[in-house]
Amino acid sequence: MGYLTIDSLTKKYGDLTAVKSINLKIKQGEMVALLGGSGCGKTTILRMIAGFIEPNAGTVSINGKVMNNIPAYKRNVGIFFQNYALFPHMTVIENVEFSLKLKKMKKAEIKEKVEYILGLVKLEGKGDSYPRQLSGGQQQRVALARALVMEPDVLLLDEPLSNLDSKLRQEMQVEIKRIQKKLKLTTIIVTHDQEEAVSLANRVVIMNEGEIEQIGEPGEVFNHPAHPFVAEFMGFSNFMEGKIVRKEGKEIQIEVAEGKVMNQSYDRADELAVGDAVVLTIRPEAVLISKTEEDGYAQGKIVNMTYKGHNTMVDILSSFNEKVQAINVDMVLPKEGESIYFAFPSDKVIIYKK
Amino acid sequence: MKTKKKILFLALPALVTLLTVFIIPMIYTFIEGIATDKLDFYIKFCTDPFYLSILGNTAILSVKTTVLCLILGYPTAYFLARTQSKIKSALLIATIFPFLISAVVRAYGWMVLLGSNGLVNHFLMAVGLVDEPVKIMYTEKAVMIGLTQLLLPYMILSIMSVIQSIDSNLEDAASSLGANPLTTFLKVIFPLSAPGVVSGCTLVFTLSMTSYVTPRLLGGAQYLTVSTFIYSQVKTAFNMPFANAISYVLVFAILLFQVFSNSANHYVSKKVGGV
Amino acid sequence: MYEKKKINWLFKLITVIAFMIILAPMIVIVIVSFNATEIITFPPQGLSMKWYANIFAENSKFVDGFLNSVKLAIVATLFDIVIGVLASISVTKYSFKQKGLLISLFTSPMFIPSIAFGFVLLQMTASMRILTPFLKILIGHIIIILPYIIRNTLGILTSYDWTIDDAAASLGANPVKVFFKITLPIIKPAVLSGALLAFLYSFDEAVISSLLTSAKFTTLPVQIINYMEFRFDPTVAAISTILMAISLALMILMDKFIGLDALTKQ
Repeated sequence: MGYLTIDSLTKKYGDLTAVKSINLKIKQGEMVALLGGSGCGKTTILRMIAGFIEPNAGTVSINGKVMNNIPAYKRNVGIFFQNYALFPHMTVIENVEFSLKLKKMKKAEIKEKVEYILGLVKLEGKGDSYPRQLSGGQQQRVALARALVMEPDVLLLDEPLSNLDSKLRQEMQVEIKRIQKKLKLTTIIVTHDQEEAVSLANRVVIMNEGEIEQIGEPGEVFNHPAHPFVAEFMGFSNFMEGKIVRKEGKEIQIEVAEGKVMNQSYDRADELAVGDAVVLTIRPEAVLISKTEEDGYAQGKIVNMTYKGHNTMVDILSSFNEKVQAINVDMVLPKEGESIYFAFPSDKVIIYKK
Repeated sequence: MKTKKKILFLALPALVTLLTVFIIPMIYTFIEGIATDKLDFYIKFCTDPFYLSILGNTAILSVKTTVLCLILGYPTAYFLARTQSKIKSALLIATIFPFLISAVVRAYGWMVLLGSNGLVNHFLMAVGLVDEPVKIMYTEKAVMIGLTQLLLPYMILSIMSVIQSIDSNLEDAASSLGANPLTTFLKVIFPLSAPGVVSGCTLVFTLSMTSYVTPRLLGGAQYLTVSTFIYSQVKTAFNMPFANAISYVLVFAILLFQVFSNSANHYVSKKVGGV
Repeated sequence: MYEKKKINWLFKLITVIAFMIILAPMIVIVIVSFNATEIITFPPQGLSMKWYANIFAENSKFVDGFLNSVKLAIVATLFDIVIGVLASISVTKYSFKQKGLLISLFTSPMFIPSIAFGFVLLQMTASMRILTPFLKILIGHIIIILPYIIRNTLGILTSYDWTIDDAAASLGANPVKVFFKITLPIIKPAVLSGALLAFLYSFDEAVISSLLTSAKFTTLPVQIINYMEFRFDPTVAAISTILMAISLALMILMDKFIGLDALTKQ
């Protein structure tokens, strides 16, 4: 039994199904990330939880209570908008105390809560400024404070860090995590950035075209993506198609090209059988490269190198005509067009049945 | 979907008001006019050169006014949009202020200025251009001057808002590419400001065609426009069916012009990449 | 550079002429209103305040006309603020197929000549005894000034960030509170500038009023036009000067509280 339960939630816009019968259970105090590209339905789910749009089918319940016919203003769901949506005609304090005043709280109590929350987001002394007088990062913290001060049953964060530069982004990640833990808030964070998702959330939900592709803990989805789509989203590249030609225990042989067979030791070899068509993938940073021929290494040619400061992305065209991407950190590399050798370490490879 | 439909109810008060006292009466009166008198009065209007000349004169007057407003308004709008001079805000106020002043008041000012005893005639005689007062009042000239003063601010603001949205770097870019100031203006600024010119001209022409106060006070009974002629048919000739027919001739003329100017607007906006 | 100066010089000259034409009649009126003689001449011979006194003379109906016009304009503007703001929200909050049609319907009175609409109202209401001239003219004004309020309000609402309203709802504000505490305060400047234009348009309107007026009920503009048909003395200049002073005061107030920018966006 989840604290926030989403059951067969569906939303259609004309012929387009934006959200396809989603099920999700979130425990109290848990932080879950909805991860996916634009148009995958993640923001639509958020807006249905908040009550801004009505689902075509399915339910949203909070603490066992079905929310479908309860209007947004009675749900006590705090939401942080991607564009902050601060009230431009109100000062920081007026923005933050808005929900408290609606609850007809006593003045002294309001003052105390506002001061506490502004301290929490480190905005002391900015109370009388108007949103337009604040920097992007400050505006964002006002939006966060405004959502937090109402002590929501569920907190929804829509791309909270997308408009920030990388330094501020990292600071705010730490900040959000700290506040969420301190207030034990049941939180959903929507993002398109896999690093943000895995570093913030207790669980990550990967979405694609209105459906859930995988739900799991950050380490699990990061290291063991359930589908090639998830793998690609989590930073895998080097997708190679092939056919299993031999299998002995955990040792399998995959024919990736006419006459080219790769030997792999694979933990979950039980799921595979000889004759299966498969897709094999590995992260570029896990590919081993060498200037000289070594045992188990395949030969290729460097077609392109992109320097990225602390490392180099190396594009290789293998002798059997497959593109391979590797990341080199400190090796002195041959020149473009010259020969190079590469290998896929068995424990880093994932094999999907097609 | 439910909230989306609910919000449409907000349109209901305005919709009901417009339909019951505006749209339906306008259509009903038109149909009833044709039902009782067939097209008799429309034919009367369209076959008599005198009546047709009133429509023609009004159209010519409106075209002249529009051209005059454009000639005076474009440079003014350009100056206002680009100047950093201190008097800019004062000039802007001088442009907006006339909007808040009654057409009756403004026409009265011209009656004082343009009369045979007025300042303009005094000036013309003083500099020796004429020997005796010229008749300006109750002619096309008086109405045209009055309408130009009345409508010039519309032209200025329509064009100014478009010129302000044109990046002034474009002018520098054009001159860095070797275009002289005149070429820059003709090839870059003027084409880009075309949507403002079209909307300004549409506004000025429509308002001239339908204006009543200015032609009544400055044109009087001697220089008739469609509006003042309709009024005289109602209040002095008591020829209601005829007034009815001419009213709808004017309505359809304006609607036709709107259709024309909409497509002009569409064409121009498309050419400059949509505004 | 030489050529640029020539263009600038020409543009400046035309700007000066344009503003002379715009301002001339208004300046002349103020000067004439203090003229001592009945025959309007230039330059004025002697100063006098008697034309101002004449406005308030016993047999003059100018004060009645002024009050009638103010009443009409206030009622029409308030009515249109309510229906206009609601209508503007209905077509901007969500997009839908008939949106364009509705907007052109709301602004359609702009494209219909007042004389034609006034005439239609005259014919339709001729047999309706319950409608006083005040109500007849009011109906006309409610229609013709509506586009001013709707256009201004639409202007600000098309760029309005509706997530702000969602934010207020998530913080516990019901739709009525969202409207009065969030939406309305934010769009207020545009609504007020539209309302000012609408108010003055109604106050100055002379076409529909002329057609629907009666011996008992006239508005100020109609009164002025009628007066000028019989007498051409500076009384009208005195009234005009007062009206300009009122407009100027309204404009200064407007500038002080919401800025004049909203007014330039016609």
